[in-house]
Amino acid sequence: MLEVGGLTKRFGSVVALEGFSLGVAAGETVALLGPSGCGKTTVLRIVAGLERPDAGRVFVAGRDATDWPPERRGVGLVFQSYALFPHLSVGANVAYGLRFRGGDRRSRVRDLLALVGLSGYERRKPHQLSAGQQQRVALARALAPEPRVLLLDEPLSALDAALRKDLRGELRALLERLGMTALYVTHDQEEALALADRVAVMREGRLDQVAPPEELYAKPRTPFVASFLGRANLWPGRVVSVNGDRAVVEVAGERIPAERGEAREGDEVFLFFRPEWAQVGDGPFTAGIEGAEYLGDRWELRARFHGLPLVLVAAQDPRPSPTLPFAIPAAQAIRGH
Amino acid sequence: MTLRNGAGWGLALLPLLFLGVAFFWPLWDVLRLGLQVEGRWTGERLLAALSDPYVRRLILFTLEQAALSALLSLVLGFPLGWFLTRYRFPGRGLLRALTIVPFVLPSITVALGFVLFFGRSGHLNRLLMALFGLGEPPIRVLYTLWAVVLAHAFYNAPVVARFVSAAWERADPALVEAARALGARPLRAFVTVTLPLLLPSVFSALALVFVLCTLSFSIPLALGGARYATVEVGVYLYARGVLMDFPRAAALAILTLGLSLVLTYLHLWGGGAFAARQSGVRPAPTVPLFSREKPGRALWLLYLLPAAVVFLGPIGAVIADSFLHPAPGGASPTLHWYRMIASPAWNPFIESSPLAAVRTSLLVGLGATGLALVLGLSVSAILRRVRSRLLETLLMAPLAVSSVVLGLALLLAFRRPPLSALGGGWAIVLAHTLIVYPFVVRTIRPLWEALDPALPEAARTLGASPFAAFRTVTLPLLGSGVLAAGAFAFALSLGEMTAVAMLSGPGVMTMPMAIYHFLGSRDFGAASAMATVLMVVTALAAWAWDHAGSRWLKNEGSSLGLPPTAERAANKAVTGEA
Repeated sequence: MLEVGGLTKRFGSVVALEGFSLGVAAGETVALLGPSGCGKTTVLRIVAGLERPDAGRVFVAGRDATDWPPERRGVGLVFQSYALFPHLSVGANVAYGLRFRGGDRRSRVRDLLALVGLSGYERRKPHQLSAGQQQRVALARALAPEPRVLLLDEPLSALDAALRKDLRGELRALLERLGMTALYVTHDQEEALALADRVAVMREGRLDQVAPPEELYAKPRTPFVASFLGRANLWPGRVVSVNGDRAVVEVAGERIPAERGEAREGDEVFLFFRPEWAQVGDGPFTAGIEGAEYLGDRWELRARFHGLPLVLVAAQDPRPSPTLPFAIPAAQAIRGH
Repeated sequence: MTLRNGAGWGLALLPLLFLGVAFFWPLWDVLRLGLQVEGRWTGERLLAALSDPYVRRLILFTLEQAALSALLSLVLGFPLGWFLTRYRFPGRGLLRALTIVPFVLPSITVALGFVLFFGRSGHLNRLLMALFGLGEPPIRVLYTLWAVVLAHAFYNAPVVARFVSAAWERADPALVEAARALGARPLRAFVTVTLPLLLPSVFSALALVFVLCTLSFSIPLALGGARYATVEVGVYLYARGVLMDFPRAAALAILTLGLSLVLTYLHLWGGGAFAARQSGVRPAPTVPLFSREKPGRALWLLYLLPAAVVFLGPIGAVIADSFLHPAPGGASPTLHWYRMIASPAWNPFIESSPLAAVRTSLLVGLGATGLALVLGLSVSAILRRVRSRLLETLLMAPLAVSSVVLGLALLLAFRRPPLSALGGGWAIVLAHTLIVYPFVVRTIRPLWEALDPALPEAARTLGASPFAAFRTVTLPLLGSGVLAAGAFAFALSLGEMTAVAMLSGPGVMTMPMAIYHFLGSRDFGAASAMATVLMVVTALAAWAWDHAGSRWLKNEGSSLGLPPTAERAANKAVTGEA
């Protein structure tokens, strides 16, 4: 439904996007995840027609929309600030996109407000609503002209944590029910994992990896993706031998078996494993404990392994013992990018 | 939508074309006349002017009165700023709003007020003579340096007060609290913390007042006479007086242009260097003025009473005299003067009919306001899109040129094609357009820049064309700001006398010029009545300006629906403070 290819955009000397490509299938929700300043909002603005790419194309429903003005694209956008028109009522805000097309506006506005749970709020002004209600109005307004693709720019970032979680679920359900094709920009990994069918991780204007949430968490392709999503142990090492899809990585003089991934023999790689993948209390390696933090259901340990930083989780606080034996039954070799 | 700079420059063509014909070309005429002799560029005329003792006296007097005026404005204005920020009392809001009034009050009405109030047989002298049984009027300031300085202080003390007050409110009250918590007593906290925070604004205000007084025209013209003339008045005397010496006027105009450029640059430079912005998280705390524990605060009356005499006396005198019929035994109330200024009968002193003067003023005001709004909106739109210092300097250049120089430039330009095709009234309309549109830009631009750019973008993604988005979203959101800018432009045009003095011809007479001529013929009643009407109209417009502004600015807290911030916009527009 939405396809962008080779998008490049510079603002002065700053490169916001460099050869960025991504496709979103009909009815699919893709989250665009990355730290602030990585160019994800620029992708959205280019798709919406609010910026022109220096290079690359935008296809909406199979047609090249790169040169179309925003009003012709049939792409809805929910702004981070909501951008509700302060001089118009809630009803008029939702009806705004219907001005430029035919049909019964009043009943459509009623239906949309019912859809987002704001029936009867037509005559209110935006500033009379809570932040969560404003967010729903922004969503209803963007949906009103029946866009082919819905873009959401950090739509929940202005809300407090509890509300954000509630609305996240509602939003997911609504997008599914409408079968909406959506591109969702966020810097909140939890939000991306919870909302999206697929997550695209961006870094410095480039796409690092796009995959379903579980795969992204379990098999990150780059050290950046590994450390951006969840807690990660990443140690620099070298592949000393390869056997099928297994490899042995030498880290600080110790040889550790791992999944090979794309690594070849002799490659400089990162050995990657999640804290919860390690077994503590028994094993061939020894961790030097530096600190422990109680997190309710577990202890998180800050430790060193031959001087390398290490995070482990344990059921009990191992201290005052200064060391702890551990094993790494599952690990991956990731090539540095 | 971002636009390439190229497209932005394209959009800038129309305003630049207008400015080229109505401003840059006429200014070129002045430069040529002052710096060319028989087609050759030379400094002869400038040197000749500078070696003329009269011109040298003009320059010295200009700087002397400006320095004294700035100091007196500070002495009168700093306590006022302090008073307005620090104390709570009934009528505080009204008093604050009133501080903008002197700034928009037509200067000729102030001059008239000073004549009526401080004159030899003015209200103050009559009162003092009656009170103390004196045979001679005790106050003789009129037609001296001090009359000019006092009138300038009347104008500019409120400006200083607004600067001080604004700086004080910007300062984070936590700083003073921190000083107190560290052991400083109130006075020490004031001297070591508050005062250093205020000083940059005080210097900035002083510099601005100095510039304004250097370029002042109507006050020295009406109160100083030919003996106490400034350079600006000198340009007028050479160009429009009996001498009709245009080359000498042009030479003087170039001198004052250079002076004002240097001063403006120094002011901007100083302002930029000093105006470190404090982020006031909370409004500054206020204390009640009247309290039983601190009866000492009543000492403020020692400042307030004389200040009230200086500020209210002249205005009160104008209003009072407009309703009074002077007679040897005592004045009697009358509406005679108002009937007189509503009369269509030809009056020899103003070489026109009073009613025609009112009509001309209104027509010029409407024309200039309309043109200034169109020009101001397009300049704001362009400067929003194209970030170019050069373009901004070009598009705002008329701000750096005094009204007298502008008047001289248009006077010369209307003697040759293409502008000679237009009637004489148009010269005044163009002059006023050029004088007021920078203020329109300064009122609208901050509002526009503060408007969330996502709003018109949202309209675009919902199907609106660029024009539809501007019409249905941007313009309604700027609406009250545009109205306010229009009201202010109208008020400025109505009260403007400098360019009119340079450009008025037979049959083209405006209200301020009529007041000036009535004053010259000592027809105080008619002058007062016309001045009162003028003051009421401008005060209304100024009030509208101070109260309007966009209610929908972002960055003012998380919610929408905000209190007007026009006061800040107003300060910016008046002072040009970044």
